[in-house]
Amino acid sequence: MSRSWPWIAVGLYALIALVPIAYLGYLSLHDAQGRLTTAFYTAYESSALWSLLWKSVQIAGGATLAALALGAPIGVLLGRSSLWFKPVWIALTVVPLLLPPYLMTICWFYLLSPDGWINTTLLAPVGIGPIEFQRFDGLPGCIASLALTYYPIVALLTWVGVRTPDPAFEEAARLVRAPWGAFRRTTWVVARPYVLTGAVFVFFFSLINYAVPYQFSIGGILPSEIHSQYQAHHNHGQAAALTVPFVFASLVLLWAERRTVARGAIVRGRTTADAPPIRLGFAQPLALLFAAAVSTLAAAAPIAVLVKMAWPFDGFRAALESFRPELINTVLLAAGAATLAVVIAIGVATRIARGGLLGGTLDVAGMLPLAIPPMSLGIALILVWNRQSAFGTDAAWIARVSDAIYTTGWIMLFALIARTFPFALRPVFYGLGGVDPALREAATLAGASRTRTFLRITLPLVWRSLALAWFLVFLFSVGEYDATHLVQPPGWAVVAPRLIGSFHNFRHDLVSNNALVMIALVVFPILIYLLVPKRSRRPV
Amino acid sequence: MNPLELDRVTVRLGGRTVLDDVSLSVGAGELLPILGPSGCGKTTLLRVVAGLVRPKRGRVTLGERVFNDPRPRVPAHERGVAMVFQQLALWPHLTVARNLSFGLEARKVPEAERTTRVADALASVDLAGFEARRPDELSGGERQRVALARALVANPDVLLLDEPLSSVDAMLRDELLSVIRTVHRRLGVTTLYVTHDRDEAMALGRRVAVMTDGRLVQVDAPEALHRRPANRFVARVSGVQNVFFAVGEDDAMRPVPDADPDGPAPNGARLVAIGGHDLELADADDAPIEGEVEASVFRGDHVVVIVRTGVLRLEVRDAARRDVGERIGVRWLRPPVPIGSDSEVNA
Amino acid sequence: MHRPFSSHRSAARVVAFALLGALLAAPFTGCKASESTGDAGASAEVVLYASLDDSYSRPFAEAFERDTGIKVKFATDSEATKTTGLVTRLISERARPRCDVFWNNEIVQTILLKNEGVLEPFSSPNAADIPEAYKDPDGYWVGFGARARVIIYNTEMVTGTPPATFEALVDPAWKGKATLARPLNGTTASHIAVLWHAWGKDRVKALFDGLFANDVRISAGNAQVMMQVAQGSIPWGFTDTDDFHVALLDGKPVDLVFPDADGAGTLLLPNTVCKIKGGPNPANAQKLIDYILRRETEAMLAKGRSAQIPVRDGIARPTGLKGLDAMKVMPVDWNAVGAVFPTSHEWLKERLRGK
Repeated sequence: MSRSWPWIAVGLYALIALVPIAYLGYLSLHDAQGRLTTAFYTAYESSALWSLLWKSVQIAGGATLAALALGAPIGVLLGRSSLWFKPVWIALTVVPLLLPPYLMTICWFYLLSPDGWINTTLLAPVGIGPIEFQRFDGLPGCIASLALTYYPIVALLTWVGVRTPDPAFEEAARLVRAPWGAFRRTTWVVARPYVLTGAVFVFFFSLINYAVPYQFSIGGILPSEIHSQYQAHHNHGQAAALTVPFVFASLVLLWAERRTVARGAIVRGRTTADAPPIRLGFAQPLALLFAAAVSTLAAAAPIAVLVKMAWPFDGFRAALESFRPELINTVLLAAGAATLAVVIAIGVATRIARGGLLGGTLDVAGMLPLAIPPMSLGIALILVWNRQSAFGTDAAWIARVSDAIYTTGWIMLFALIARTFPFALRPVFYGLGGVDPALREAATLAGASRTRTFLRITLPLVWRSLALAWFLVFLFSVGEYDATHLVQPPGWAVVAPRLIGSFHNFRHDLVSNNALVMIALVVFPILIYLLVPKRSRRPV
Repeated sequence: MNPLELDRVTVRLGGRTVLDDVSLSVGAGELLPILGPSGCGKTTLLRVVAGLVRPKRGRVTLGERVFNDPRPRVPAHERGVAMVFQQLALWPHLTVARNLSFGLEARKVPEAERTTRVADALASVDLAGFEARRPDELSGGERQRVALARALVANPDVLLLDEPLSSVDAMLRDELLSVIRTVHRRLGVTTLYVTHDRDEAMALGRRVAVMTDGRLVQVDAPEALHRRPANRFVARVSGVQNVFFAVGEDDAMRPVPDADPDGPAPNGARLVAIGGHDLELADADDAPIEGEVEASVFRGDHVVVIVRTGVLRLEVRDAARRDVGERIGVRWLRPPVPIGSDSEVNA
Repeated sequence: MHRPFSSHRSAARVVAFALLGALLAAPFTGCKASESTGDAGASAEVVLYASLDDSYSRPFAEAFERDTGIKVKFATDSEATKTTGLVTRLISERARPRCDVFWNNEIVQTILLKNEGVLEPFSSPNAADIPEAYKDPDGYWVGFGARARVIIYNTEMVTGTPPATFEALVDPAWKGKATLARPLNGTTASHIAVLWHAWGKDRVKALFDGLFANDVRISAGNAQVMMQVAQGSIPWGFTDTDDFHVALLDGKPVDLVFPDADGAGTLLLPNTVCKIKGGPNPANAQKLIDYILRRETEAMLAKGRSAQIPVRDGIARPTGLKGLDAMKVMPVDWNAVGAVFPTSHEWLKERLRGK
């Protein structure tokens, strides 16, 4: 990494994500004529607003607890136990992230509808039901949907977390404790920040989600109020003022995360192979049952719905042909966003590690996008980048910069990076923090430039964390549409909104075939990666 | 080869002064051990030379090249300084050969030459044929030698060794010390060797630098450190057995048996030091000091007799054991040397 | 990571930021950045935002390009994505309009755009045969191809006489058997705004008191109303003809009623087309609007899965909507409805809090 990259990365991040967020703050304090006002904040004097907030927190808190209950055990089982058929479970774990939460919910509506397969074939003969998912009154169904969609974030971060520390610590503890006790006292302690980070992600994604509560006809939450401000009143200032609780909540949560997770818990240096997996023994069937149950609920069942709709795949070619531009755009944009986000995250994480006021600020600012409702972010991106004038001038270059970004794929990349950056930042930060600085210093003294040191020493040592970061951003970008569709320039349509539109129109042939293609695109590489002989993947 | 100079170098880290006004000249090709307890700043001194730490004040020069003044003038990777880290810092994902050739690749050394130099460096530490191994496949001593070879392969102008033997057992340490000595003699590279082990320091250097609390206390030949320790601290780390308060001059000098050497000075007394080999036993009536044998310890080629007088316990080197409780006299072959208190620097 | 050297750092930063600037200035891909800005007649393209399913917008754009040689660059959005969508985007882009023509699949949000000052008036010869009720007196929009607000019922669950009026929702005979979409979004929100304007606040209030007393299930949207009725979760509800039609095509046991044939009539919500003020290709915008307002467009919408109802006479009507010919159309002053929309929306939000 070059000497100036941390600075450039911080600048890029500020440009892409922080400027639009700051612009929201500006909007919330200025009326339509541009005069300074605090009028939009008088909404907070109303108890109605606080009841919106409370309901939002209930949904997000419930979804987070449920995602932890599902994701953390799965992550530990996949990462450190002798669970059978691991590659299958790992591949199934990522599926929910690919599908927009909305689609997952709809799949379940189908499965648990009065005329659906579960009710007619399984429950009716034994006299139960019909059970309707859509009728799970209010919060429980919504929380279940969000948890099933987002638990993979916790699972994947846990999986990486438990494989991070030097296994010698755990092995040393095993001499005096039973394997699970040893795991709990050593590896788990190191993995905790990863798990907690996952929980924070889930909390915010659930907090700002509009589509899933909408599906369950839950109104009166903060995102729906913001939606209403845009749709019925076109009041940007009021909508922006309503994002403040999200920002505030993010600051509180980050502070709590920092308090509970000692930074020193990240163990440095890792020179040997993975510790031998902890044998499950008689617990194996139980663990298999759990993995199968979770994977079925979150992945296999939705996939089954899609396969059933697509069967016998006679419309496959036509469906693919119809979606071809969107499929190409989606993969291109997701891969581009993932690559850029990770590269920027490397610089920002490096700057954070240097500490100081800027480091501490970036540490928080790097997580801020999580707290911004995507529609607010999308609109802020329009207002920031689509312009004729700026800084009090309307020089020609402003229009040119605006054109170069707002009318091209860049604005889509900006939106994706601005939404997903925390996914990239956290694993990269923890990964880089896990490398003994002496390894880099030794390379510097050997005569290597920073770039060479980074590429040849640091990178090979942290590829696992970087790959996770890349993968998380990629997965999330594939399913994102809340922010991107608002800024999508002509010609840059992506799959997710079309899937939803097609679903709405009962074009199940289009939906199922293309959703399956998206799943296959991601799942097959994972399976191949997991199934290649271990010999060719030396641990670092 | 060029001499390495540190001129009034001060380093502050995290609000603490880690190096305090340190000046040091290392001769071209000299191997200078730096001796001191952990936390005394000796590792920081190495890191300043390497360019890994930026001093607040002072200059670092190698011959004509100004490394720091105190702004860094030459970045770490262009200083031609090699370092063996305390934890070795071998790159776990690279083979032994790649660990060695990494720096050569960075410096654009042609491949054929790289192969030769790697082989030579490995041979010089008795590891010929280890090219394809990975660090996690090596024993502790082998890793130590790979780290040394990695430092040497680039033909550095300055070699920095940061407690390289702190984690190996005694037998292996003697073997590795002789490897280091041999390699240094052959290459003649200017070397700083940080250690907290007196025997290592004394065994390696013609001069030894003694550090404590971020300051350089004394730089001198091992014998001189022993004979004329600058202060109580140097006396202790350089192994001078007897430190006490005394009155009078030269032959008329007498210890103050009731004064605790770690306590305040009694009226008119000053602190002196003398080695056990500069003392001898005599008849109780015929000697300036009179005491009682507390123990005698067999040390292979000699016996150390511990004589108690007042609160003092003097260690005397002698040929034969004495009975415990025997009344005996002690006199010096040369007078003890006065030493400073710990706070006085006398480098 | 420490930073041992600072020499040249600021210079390196300047160079790096310059490179970054160049990178950003470079178009992401060549052909996609060639948007012309304000250079009227010379451009050979036009930008269309359409809240329209791709199955219509693509063939339509291809036909337009074939017939006129003008390339259509379009961004689409469907109400199914539950986003703030193209209307919010058009308002947000006001500082520098990027769009020439907006094809909205409904009408109330178009009037909000007019009130926000985003639109400019136009006139099209092809609108001549469109009834005046579907044209803005000020010339800011023209309506065509409409959806009707209808009753969808499950033929296996409603075996007697189906409900036939909007106020059947508050009829105790149907207690717990009907559903209405949450009236804060989409056509249901427009529907209530129409009633608000036609009936006044007090009657709407009474209606909602009756709805809740009668255990009307509040569903997320019209699609969910349709799905629940089609799947047998609830006997009947209010939805749009397009949602009804896809259920019918899917072979579900459903039928429809055009409500209030004896009263105020059935509400029709037309598509609207409007012209964006200060759009980049005004001349081509006019051509595109003219093209959209051809009779063929209404015919296309009528034939498609969404079975939209032509507002002009003499165009083949969709075949799947039983009773369409007997439908009585409710007269609406759309501009007035647009004016009360924010008020009715705000009131509904309060009324629905906690529901």
